[in-house]
Amino acid sequence: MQRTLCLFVLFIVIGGVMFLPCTSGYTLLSQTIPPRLALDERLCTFDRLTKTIISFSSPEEPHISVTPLPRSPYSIKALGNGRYELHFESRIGAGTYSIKVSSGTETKECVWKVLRSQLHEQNWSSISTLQCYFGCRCSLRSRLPVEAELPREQFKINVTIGDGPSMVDAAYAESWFGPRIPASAKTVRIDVVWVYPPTGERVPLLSKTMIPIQEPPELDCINAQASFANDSTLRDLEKKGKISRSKERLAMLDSSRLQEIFFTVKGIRMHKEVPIDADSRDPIAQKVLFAQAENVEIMRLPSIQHQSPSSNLSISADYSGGETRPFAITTTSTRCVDAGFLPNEKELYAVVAVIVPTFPIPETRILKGVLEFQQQIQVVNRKAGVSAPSYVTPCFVKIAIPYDRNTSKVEWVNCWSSIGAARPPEEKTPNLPAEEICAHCSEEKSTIATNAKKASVYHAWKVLSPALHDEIQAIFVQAGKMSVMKPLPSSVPLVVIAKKNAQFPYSLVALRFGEHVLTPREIQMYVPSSIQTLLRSPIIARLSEAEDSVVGTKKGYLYGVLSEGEQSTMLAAAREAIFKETCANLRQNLRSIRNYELGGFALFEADSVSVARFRETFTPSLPRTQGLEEAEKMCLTTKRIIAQIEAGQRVPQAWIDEGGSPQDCEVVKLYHTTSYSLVRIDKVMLLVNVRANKPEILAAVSVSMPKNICDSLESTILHDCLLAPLSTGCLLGEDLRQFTTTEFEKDAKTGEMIAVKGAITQSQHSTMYEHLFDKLKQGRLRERTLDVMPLPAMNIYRPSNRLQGKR
Amino acid sequence: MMKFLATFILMLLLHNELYCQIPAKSSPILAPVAFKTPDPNVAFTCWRVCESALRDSLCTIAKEKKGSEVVVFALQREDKNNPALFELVWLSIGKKVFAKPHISLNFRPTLQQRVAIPFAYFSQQDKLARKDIYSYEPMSGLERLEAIRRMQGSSFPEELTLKQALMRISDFAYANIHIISSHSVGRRIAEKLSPALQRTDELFNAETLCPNTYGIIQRIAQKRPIPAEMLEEKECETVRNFYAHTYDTNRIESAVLVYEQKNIFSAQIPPSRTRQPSSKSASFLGSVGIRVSSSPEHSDRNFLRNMLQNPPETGTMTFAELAEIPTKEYQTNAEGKKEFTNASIQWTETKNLLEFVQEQDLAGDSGYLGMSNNHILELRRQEAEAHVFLKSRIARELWGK
Repeated sequence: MQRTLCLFVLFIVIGGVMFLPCTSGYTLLSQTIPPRLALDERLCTFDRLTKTIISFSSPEEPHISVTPLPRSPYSIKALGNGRYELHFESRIGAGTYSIKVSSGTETKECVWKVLRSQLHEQNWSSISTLQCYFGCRCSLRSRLPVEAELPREQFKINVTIGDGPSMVDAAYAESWFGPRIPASAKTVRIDVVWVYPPTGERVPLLSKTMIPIQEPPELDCINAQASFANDSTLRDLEKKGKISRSKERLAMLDSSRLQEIFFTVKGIRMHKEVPIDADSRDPIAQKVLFAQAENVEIMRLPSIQHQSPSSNLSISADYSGGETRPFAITTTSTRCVDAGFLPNEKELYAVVAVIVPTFPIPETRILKGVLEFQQQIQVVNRKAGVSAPSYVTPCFVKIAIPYDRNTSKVEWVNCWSSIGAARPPEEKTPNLPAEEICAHCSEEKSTIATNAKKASVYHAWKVLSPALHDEIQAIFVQAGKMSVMKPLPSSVPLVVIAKKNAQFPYSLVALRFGEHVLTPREIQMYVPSSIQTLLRSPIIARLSEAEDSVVGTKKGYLYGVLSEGEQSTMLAAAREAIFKETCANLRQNLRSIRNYELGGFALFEADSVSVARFRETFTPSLPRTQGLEEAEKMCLTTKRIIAQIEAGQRVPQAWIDEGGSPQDCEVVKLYHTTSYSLVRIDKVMLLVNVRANKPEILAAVSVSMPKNICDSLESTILHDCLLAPLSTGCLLGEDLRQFTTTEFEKDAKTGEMIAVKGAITQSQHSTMYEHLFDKLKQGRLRERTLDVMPLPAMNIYRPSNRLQGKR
Repeated sequence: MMKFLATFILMLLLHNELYCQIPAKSSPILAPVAFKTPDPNVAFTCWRVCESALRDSLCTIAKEKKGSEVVVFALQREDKNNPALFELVWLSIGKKVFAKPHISLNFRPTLQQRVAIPFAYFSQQDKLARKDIYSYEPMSGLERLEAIRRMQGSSFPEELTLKQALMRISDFAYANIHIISSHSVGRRIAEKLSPALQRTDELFNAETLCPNTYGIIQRIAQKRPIPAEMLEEKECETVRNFYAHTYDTNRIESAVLVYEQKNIFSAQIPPSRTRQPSSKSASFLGSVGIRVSSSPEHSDRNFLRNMLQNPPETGTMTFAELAEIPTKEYQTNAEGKKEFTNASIQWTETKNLLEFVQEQDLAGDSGYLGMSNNHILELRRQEAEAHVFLKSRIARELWGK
């Protein structure tokens, strides 16, 4: 223990002795130790330094020699206590000097390097082209001279932006970024200085004054893509007169077996946001302001480089093994009809018109390849009063535009032209006065135009796939159309007749195998929906690789093209078969208009009296009782309740409670709610065979229509209703012959016979068939064939009376 | 020897199971050809088993000559990740036809599974690839029809009577039969065989006086117990008793009519093989009873299918049995007048239900007999939509893979 204590005390004592000279410091030593000759061995300054001070210490009067002797004289200044300063009062030329200080026998030497006042030579070229841009940070990449063995803290960077605030003494860095340049700045000055510590003199090493400029925009075409020009775009261009889709032009092209298709190239946009200004209100968190759509202008519209070797197009079939034809890109065949910025976007677009060869329906081709476009835009910095154009860069746009015969067709095109023989026969109206004929014509034209708007075009093609051949033949056998169990040779054609909708795929209308035809109803009955889906997709581009890997997901099949004449023949045969099948299985076919719409039947709307007869017989209303009459009188809110129910809204309980007699109001509500929810016949359509000279009413189809529909939608809704008519009100001709026009019941009170169930007491005919037929003959029934059927009736029966035309 | 004896006993048991479960009564009528053949309208996925080992083992079980043709009729189960999941529906082995009941009786589940999966899909770097599990040959639509035509001349391993087949109607959902719901016939059968209690004035009064009438009816319909508190009043007991009988699931509510579908090969088949006594009765086979259900038919798309899973014996009758049920039934009322009862079909002149059905059928007015859709047929059509072989064949034609 004692030993430990002794050691501790000794340690403290030794520690205190050693610590004393360190803490009491230099003064203690200087006071006690005489100065020795001391001089820095190396010194470094710049030649623009106006006054150089070199400190040294010497115990005696020093003797100094400087070699080579600079032009500037020097002086020695004694500071006392053996300390001295050597003063050079003017600039010292660049070079290496040797300073020798002798004191007695002792001599010390210092190598003094005076460097040129500039940065490293390697920076000169980059500094000479140094530029700064509005909205961007000014930056400097530089290096100090290799010989400058000086602390980096002695170097500073100063920035002065125009007449505004400047940044002083920013720490030097080889990669230095300064403040953002506002659009108001006229000049930007950057200074790199060396601060000489003894005097604080600032020696400039670099001084660069720049006029800020606007950064040019860059165009990016990576996402550029071509797609079909939509109809509204084309209409606008047509209004502007940039394109013409006149009937004459189309006819002219068609005569040369050509057609014009339009596609839009989009996705050429500015590569990145272009800064134009800086909000430097907060110098620490400066905000950059980018160019907006109004700051971007087109200098050169996108134009097709017809001569460019990169531009090449070809027309190919979109199925494997199809032929590919090169397409000549000329100023006539391929032209840019419009270009510009998309509204409120910094994106360019171009509308391109290409005149391509036509192909027979339903073939589809793909126009594919690459087109080179060139365009130029500029950014206008209005605040700074400058603009910067982009470089003229080529854009390579991949084109893959599928098209068919009808791609370029527009609304006014008469749909009959595309179905050849299905064109309605020329109608003769010899007995009509001139004005009625004209009225009739215009009406007919407008109806045809309305139908054409539905864009319902019928196409036919041959199925060449042996697998489908076998499968469809089996279906024909199942349907009882054939009995041949051996595969028929490929010379027996299997033809699909389909209706082209606004877009792919088609909807099946009929299948023809040899001379046998499956009608729409039979297709629905016998052809599984997956085979239907297969059949209506003869042409679908290959799927992605991932989808391809799963066997069976590829779509499409081998098919053959039929000429327009053959297609028309096929459609005519299908219509004939549909007509026959509909007549044979009329009741089943009445379940949907799809089953008979191509059969060439006419459709007439029954008169209101007949409709009432149908309605009251098959869908009668709830009988009104004495109790109800009284309840309606007692309930004060009867009218409001009825109006509410008719509007299809819930009756508030308050109306029942506050209606004077809640029980009566409840009765009223119940009756009218039930009555309103009853499905009742609203229209009765007559399916008429007009092939012969004398028309024949085949059936009456009753439908329930939604209430409060506008006139413009009436035809569409009627068609939808005929897709699923009321089965109770669908009567065949023979049913109509047994359906009497009148019906009487004995009144329980008076004992008299009264007409019931909408009986037509005024009719001269005993049966509904006779009544309706008479009305039809007189032309008093409104014809709705063209409103709901895609094609007009075949050999339409024209009643002599023109009343039917009045609508 | 022991092994043979054990197999024999097992076969005997299985055979007995088939016949003991289904009361055969004394009906001698055998199941017609329609039950032996798949419906040609159903697009089965169909293939031949070409692997000799598998084919031979199937032939051995079927007691057919080794090397006989084995045709599988299967339906694809809905599994997008594995399109090779099939359900065996029919097997044609040589001159034997195996429908679902026969398949489950004669083949081990592992063998059934092996036959039903001819190929499998496996994932290789996220790409599905197909691998054949055994050698097989897909059949085209025409070949399928040809196979069905040949099956018409084949026989079941164990013959079924028509009554047994009707009782197992759900197993024959894909057979060449047609199911029609007939309101008149169904109601007549139901009322004749399990008549509902008549609504009386007493019941009406009880319904009015019982405060829980609606709740009791709801609970009975939903097969929930009725708490004693709800039956405190005497009238409620009356209501409970009436509706408990009405909703008794042992009662039948209706019946569907089973028809043989039009035979598309009839012209090619000798009449002797059809086993049908006459052309008139050939199309109509019998009726299948439908139990009382609390859920209305329109609320469940699979209503009919579910109801036919386990049909009651009551109401399931062959055409011969239906010939014994008169169309009309009279009862003398309190005033001494005769009145029709038990849903008699008053307006027909036919004497029994068989005649009535045949008359309607001959009149061609199927709309009258079956206003509702043929649910089973619709379902069958929807289930057979895969066409996996057809699609791959077309793909090969197109892309050469």
